[in-house]
Amino acid sequence: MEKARVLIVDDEQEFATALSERMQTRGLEAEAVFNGDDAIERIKSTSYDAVVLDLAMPGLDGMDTLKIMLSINKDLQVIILTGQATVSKGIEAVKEGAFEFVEKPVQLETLMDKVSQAKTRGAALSETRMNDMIDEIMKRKAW
Amino acid sequence: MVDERELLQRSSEFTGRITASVTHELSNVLGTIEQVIGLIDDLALTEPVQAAGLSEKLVSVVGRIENQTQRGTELVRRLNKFAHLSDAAVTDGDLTALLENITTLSQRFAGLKKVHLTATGLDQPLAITTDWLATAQLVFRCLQRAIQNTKQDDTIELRLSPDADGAVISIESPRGESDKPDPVDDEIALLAKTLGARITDTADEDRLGITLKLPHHL
Repeated sequence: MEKARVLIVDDEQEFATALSERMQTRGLEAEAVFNGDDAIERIKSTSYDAVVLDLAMPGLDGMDTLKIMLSINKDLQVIILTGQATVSKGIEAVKEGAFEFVEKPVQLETLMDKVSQAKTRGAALSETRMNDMIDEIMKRKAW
Repeated sequence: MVDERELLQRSSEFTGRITASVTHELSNVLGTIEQVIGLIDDLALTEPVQAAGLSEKLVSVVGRIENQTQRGTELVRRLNKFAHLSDAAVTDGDLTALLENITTLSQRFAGLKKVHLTATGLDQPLAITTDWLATAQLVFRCLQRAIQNTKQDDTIELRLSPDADGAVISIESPRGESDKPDPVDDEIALLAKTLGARITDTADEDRLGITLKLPHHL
């Protein structure tokens, strides 16, 4: 299986950096950005298996970042990080299209599991879309 | 014009907001420390560190730091939950979760008096609409009263049970050495009144006890 490619988005720079380094140690291609704007730029140019996104960020917050990212790539698998007091926001984010939410403080193993699930789900979605596209072309060409 | 009651409410909200904000930041600090410690733990298992014979010692030190950060994280989580009680004057919520938090936060007070504090009936959520800060204060005051009047090594039992009209919280303990335990004081009585709660002093010769009946809706 190919390495999962993960983008971590959190304004807590030390947290995001340490998390991405630990994921790299475990064989993932992980990188960190520290605000929503940079995250949006990254997903425009790079394909990620999962985005780990903090909800509480200054400027463009996690919820708005999520909405913009999903408007660019609706199959993007986003794992939301929420504080204990903002679990309801996590649920709201899942309703908006996030793959899952995880409460902070998060154990690396938990997050690795979620990333793996997100990668599988993303791959399945891509395959479905590809098949739908092929079916559509076949219909148009009347094959 | 802000009246005295509203000003008190705003003071509670102010304290709660600042505490919630700081605990959120502290939680981030502890979360970052946990991840950095995790990095050291990863390093401890690399070949050069193992070859230098430092791996075991490093893992042991990391484990000790991890235990303390987890302890800190749990305390901060509980303080954060407590701080959010003042978010709104009256709102829907889970009484079980509140009691679980308050009894855990009260363990230290019980420990200082060398008495035990147990809670039962907290395995199912119990939804009510109330003033959560005042409810927490009322339960805490009742626990404090029990702690003050219970003998060393004895156990205070808090029990929650649902009731047709809402919820019943009972707090009981063996009677301590004092013949005249603290009466149900004005603070408890006033808090109960504010919450529409009924208090019953259930003390007898052997045991101290208080029962609080809280309504479904304040």
